[in-house]
Amino acid sequence: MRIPLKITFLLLLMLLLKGQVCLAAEVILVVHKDNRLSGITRRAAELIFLSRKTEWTQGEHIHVVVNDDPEVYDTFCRDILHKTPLQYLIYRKKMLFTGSGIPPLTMNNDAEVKAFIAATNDSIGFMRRDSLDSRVKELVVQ
Amino acid sequence: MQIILLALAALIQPETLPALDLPDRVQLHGFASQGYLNSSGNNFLSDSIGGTFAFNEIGVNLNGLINNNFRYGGQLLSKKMGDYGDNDIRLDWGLVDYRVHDWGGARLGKVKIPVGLYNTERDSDFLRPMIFLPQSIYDETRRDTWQAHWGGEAYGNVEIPAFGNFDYKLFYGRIKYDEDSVFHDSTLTNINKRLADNQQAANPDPTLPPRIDDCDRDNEYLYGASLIYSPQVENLRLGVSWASQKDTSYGDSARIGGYKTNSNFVLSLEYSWRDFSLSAEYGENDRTQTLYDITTFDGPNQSWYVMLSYAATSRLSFTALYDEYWKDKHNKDDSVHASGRYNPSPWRKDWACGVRYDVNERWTVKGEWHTVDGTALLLDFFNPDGTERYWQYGAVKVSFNF
Repeated sequence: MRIPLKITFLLLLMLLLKGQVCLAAEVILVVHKDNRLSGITRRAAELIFLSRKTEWTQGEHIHVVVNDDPEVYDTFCRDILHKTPLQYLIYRKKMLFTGSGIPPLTMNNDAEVKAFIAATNDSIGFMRRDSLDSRVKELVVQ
Repeated sequence: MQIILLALAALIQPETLPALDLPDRVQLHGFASQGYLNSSGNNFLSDSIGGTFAFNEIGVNLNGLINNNFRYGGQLLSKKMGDYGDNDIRLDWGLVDYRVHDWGGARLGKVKIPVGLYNTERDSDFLRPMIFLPQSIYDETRRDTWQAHWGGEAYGNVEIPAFGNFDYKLFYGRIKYDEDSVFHDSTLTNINKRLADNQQAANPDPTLPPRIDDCDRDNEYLYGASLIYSPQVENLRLGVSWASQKDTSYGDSARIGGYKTNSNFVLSLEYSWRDFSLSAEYGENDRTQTLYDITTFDGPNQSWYVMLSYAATSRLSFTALYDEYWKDKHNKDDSVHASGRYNPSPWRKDWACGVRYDVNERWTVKGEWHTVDGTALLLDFFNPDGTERYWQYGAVKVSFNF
């Protein structure tokens, strides 16, 4: 039985689009609980996650961690970086493969990010608001 | 061999092959790509009429942190393009990097040349929307020689809240020319055509040899600067880069001439809005070439392109490109090629479209088609029987990275 070309095309398109629709999570920036900052501009956050700003105002090195949970990552890229997830992924790979730097650490989910932030002074990451607890501190994007 | 490696990689699910993060601060990453190139009308970069699978790259890199300010890294690259490269392993880049503060640092070693927005990323196929970068500015036949230099660069990033962000680089070093390169062999062919013309002239210069068996080029210096400005407008980057170089040419070990890039500048723009990305660059390369006391070329070329990409989904994107090159900015009519061959169409106008599909974070599949008017940048070395003004080429490529 021959499958009409249009149906084949639509099936292919559905396959390509499969898994692209996701619900937006409420994503917040988090820092070590001893961090004296309570807020940050979106621009400054963008520069930190693009590795262009690597020092807090007091001069301490910023330890950045990227949350690879697809839903959280997608929301963070679009809301904070104003980039597509693929653009930010390629940006980080460019650092590695062109010799211009080492990209931020990547962790799989909120729990890992939270554990890293709680254990590392001067660190910053992002996760779902629902995952926030007293081990880390929210950094409000102003 | 390349296909076998890709097949092996295909058997491994991404989850089971993370980038190898060695203890603490060392990371090992890599990539492999296999392409297929086909053309009609003219051979492009290889004997591409009829198609060729001799189009691949394999790279492995190691990056390490000594402390928060001091790091090292290097990348080995093996590639094949037609009869060139032969998958020999070479150092693509290798450096030590000391960052004093965000506003200043220095890199020493074999460092990528930051001309235009994308020259530093040419070896990694999965970093760009199309398989080939716009040829007017990123001429693939010069990739081996215009990719990295031995020397150093000072760099930094300065944020001025009222204006935006400035990324600067100042570089100085030397290029090392490989004998196994398209550039080397096409230069040898061109020199011998010049010498053959001399032999057939009514009054040949008796001091010139009938031909040479080998040629070489020694770079005396390369220096330049790059500035990328990101204003407060989101996802907008404006860039300007400039470079100058001077080479001495040798034929059978005797000095026969020189090549000087007096001024090579590129103006760049990149803007992303929602799922659209726009890139446009304009450049001029003012160069002077002499062979056996004759100036074979003196003046600027002219290059520009506009490229628009649309991300239909997080994995699927489409790109359209218009790319234009003029061999001589001030003479857009017919001209004489460096080899002495008459070229009735010394321009290159390339319309192209491409598609990229990211299967996952590690696998990328791309395809594209180009239709071209003009024969500038084509090497008669690959087209000994002459060239056709209107021609096409297309490619597909699969890339894997970890």
